[in-house]
Amino acid sequence: MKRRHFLRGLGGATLALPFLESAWRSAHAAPATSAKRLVVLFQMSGANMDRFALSGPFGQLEAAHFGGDRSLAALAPYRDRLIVARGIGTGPGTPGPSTFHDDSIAKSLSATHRQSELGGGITVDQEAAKSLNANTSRKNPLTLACHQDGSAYGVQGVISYVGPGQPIASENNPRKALGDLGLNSADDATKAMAAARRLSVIDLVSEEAAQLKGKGLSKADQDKLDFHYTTLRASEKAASAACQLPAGVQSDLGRYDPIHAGEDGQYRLTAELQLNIMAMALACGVSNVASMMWTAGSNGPGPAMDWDGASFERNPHALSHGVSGGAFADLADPNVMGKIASVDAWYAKRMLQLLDLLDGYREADGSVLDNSAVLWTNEMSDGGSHSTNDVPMVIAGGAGGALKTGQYLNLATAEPEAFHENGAFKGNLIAGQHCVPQSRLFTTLLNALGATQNGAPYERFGDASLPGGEYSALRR
Amino acid sequence: MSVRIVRHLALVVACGFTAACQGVVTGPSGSAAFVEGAHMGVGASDSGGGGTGGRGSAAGGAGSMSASVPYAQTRLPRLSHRQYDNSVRDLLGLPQTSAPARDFIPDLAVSGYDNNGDALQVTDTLVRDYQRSAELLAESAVKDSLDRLLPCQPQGDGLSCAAQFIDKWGRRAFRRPLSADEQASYLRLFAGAATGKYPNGEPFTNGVRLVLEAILQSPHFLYRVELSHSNAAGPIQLSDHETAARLAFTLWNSLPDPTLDAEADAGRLHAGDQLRQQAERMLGDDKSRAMLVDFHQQWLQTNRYTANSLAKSTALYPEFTADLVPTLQEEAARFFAAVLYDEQANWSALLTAPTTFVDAKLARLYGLTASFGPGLTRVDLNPLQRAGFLTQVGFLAAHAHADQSSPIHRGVFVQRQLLCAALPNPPPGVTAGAAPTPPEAKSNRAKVTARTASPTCVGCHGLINPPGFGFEQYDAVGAFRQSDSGEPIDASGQLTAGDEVLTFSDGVSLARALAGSKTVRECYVRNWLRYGYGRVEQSSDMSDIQNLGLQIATPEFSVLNLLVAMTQTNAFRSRPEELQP
Repeated sequence: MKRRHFLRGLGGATLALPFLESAWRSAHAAPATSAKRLVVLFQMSGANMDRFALSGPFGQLEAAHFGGDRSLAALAPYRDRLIVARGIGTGPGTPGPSTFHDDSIAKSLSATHRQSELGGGITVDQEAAKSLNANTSRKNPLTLACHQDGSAYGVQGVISYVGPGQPIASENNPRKALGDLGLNSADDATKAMAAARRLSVIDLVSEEAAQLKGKGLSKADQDKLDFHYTTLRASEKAASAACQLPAGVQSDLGRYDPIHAGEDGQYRLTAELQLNIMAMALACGVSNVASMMWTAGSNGPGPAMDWDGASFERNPHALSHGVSGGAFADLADPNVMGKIASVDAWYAKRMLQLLDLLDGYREADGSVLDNSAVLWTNEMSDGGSHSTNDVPMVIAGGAGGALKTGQYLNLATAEPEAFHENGAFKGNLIAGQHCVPQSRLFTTLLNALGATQNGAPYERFGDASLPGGEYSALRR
Repeated sequence: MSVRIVRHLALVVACGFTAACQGVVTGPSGSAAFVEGAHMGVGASDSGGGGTGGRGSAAGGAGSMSASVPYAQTRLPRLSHRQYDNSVRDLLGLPQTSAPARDFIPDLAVSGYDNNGDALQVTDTLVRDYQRSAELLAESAVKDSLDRLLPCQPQGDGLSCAAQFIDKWGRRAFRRPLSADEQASYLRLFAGAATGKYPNGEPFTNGVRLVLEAILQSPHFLYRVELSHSNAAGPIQLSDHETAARLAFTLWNSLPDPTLDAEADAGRLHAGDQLRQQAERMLGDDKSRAMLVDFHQQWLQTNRYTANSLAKSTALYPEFTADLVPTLQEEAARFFAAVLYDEQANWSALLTAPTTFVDAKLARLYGLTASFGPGLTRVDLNPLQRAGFLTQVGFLAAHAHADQSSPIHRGVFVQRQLLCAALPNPPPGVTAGAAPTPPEAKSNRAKVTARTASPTCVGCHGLINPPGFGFEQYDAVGAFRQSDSGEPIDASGQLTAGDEVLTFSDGVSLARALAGSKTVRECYVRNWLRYGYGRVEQSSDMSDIQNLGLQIATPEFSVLNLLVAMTQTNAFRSRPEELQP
């Protein structure tokens, strides 16, 4: 396919790319191979799986797969660099006929059971950051969000965990997200002074933390201190000075209004800004792992889609349960599934925007997208039945050539595996087959990106009851 | 039409599994926030897995509350954002409007509250927030208020004055005297600021600035460090300094003041009556007033009112516009403060006092005809129509549809927030399971009854609908109404709360019945413990909950009395025996 060399501006105008390459090289001494990146885009409340399915057989992706009214139509230009994987379930193993939003959100990226009110284990973005962010200024991934402050929504307001019950919140304010990248336009002497000053502070408070750890604290408390103060020290690693947002995006930042964050009028703008900031942070080496939690979960204040041709009075969670009008007026909206597909298509365009941005950043061995794995997934597949079978999994970018892209893959199996399925198995291509767990997809992605555990490739990820190993069909 | 409903819409037609709501009560572990446990195949008796909270429960698995899984209470709860704001304000003498943590990445509410010590982590983003805030605060402090911060006039190299400053200011920030080593470290930092750290400024000023930056990022400031230990079995008594910190962060959401610091230094916080005296003194400060309001805002979720959650049909309610949202938040806050703090009422006034605060616009929704200005004014409401928070416009409108009341949303709120019931979330596929509305059902009550009558629905809706129907005299914007869709309103019903049966004829009598219920009293105390102690309640807290629940039944026993009593428990004055390090 033809690569894009221009960033698409917010108003549809094209903007010249910020020229990063030379500065990037000088800042990083021209690494032989570029860093590998992982991105997770996380949608809530499920999808219209009938329209999410591509229109064509499993196998190599062709233009025809994206034809007609397919929700993924916008991604057709990237078909050679996509994997649309079907048949993955994100349980795992919840007994009973269904799973609920608290569970599905907590389990999706961790592949673990909840052990308390919060999530049950480390999520794939945090796991990847252990390796991929080793030489960056961030210990955590860049965790962004578009929703209004989701903090009041507990487990449904967070997708990222460093361990059981240890949530990592997402930043929903693009201005703050940009400020946190640590980009600094001051002159070298001033920067050196600031660095010396911060280092003297970090040395002192880190020593205090080290001494505290020796006072018979529990493992959990020691970990908490460790996490805090090693993170603080990592923040001093210099970020590339060449990082700069395109001028149009910079001026759009001025329109951002935090008071109305997450409301319909701000959501679309926030999405554009956050994706630009994310792409830049990945390109500049501020962080090699990033995640985007589009909205909080079912109880969260996610917006009704009221833009880009859609005009819904209910947010996607309400739509997923077939509710689209007033109290009892039109409960059984005949077009509710069509509206859900419109929501999915809107998020497909956000994916497209991110891919365009990442592909616009060139480095020695291809584009940033070529060296990334971008995963777009969802808390559920069919939201109405709370199904976590056959959850949307769209992967873009080749992870530096390690992923076999250009495929419409069916990973479902004819015979059930040990993995526990929940509820109805929706999706018109693979009915009657059985899901496989997301744990192996995450193992595949971690290894494709070169992340390691104790110096070796990952053998498994997530709950111990789930099978280990990769899905070889994704690998070259 | 610009109607957007973004809340848990599925509740409209939520039909639960019958089994899911059987035995939904609040065992010792009942935690309303962990409601999904009931649907996870976990028995109702231990459905409150949240009861073990955060990492403390990691070893125990979902829902276990047995004595074999002791609760590993953190010894380093991080300051909540509110506590950070109040602390830096007190330390630096900043104006009330100063709130640097408003720009921090928000903390997650756990079991309903944003100050749960087990969940408060420091992440990349927060590390930068703390750093940025420390640098800005230090910069403006030495510029604007250096003289006020210093206990001395610097002479010569300023080392002697710097040492005094570190001693005094550091002590307040750390809530304990600094060790000799700590003083030496900070003095070295001070001296090091003289070269290569700041592009301009006097060496002494820069030194103080650097010390401020460090202290504001120190674990001894950002965490409530509790290092006291004991070789004996059983709960570990806190030191006087640790007790002082708990007292101040609980009653003020801030660090101790010089008076409390002096009491701690003198070792005068061991005995209960000394602690009580300090607690009573501290409750006289406005910082307690703010704390009390914050608790009620989180518990009753008035901090969640948004333009989206309060969007109403512009056709039906043209007067109900988005600018009412801050007014309704303010109405609730003023009500909590006036009744429970200023008038020192018993907790039950929350649910019974026929009074509120209105401006001209809000007054019309209450049907008040007198003229009001733009600011909020205290008014007495018709006691036949209004009794406390549950009959106020904010609650009623926030728990309603855009065009109609919502008995289901209101009923769920009463069950979860006031009765601490572990009500499960609505199951999937509710639309398919809901019965169609029969044509003869005209009123909202009749429609909801018809749609939730099937055997699969009544399990939960038998609990949800009755308290919801009690508020049917209030429409989608909380205005009082005599009829609904041409039908007379039936707001009567019966509600089972624990072993009590509450009978009511309308919203006012329902609110009064709730105010007289033991279950609601204990739920109120349970929520206070979660907030005040910064953790989810444990089975070991049950006797305190029952005891305090009994005490607040006495009309003369005010919420302020309850707060004092909460500082007198063993749970407050000690921490659980340490587990394996």
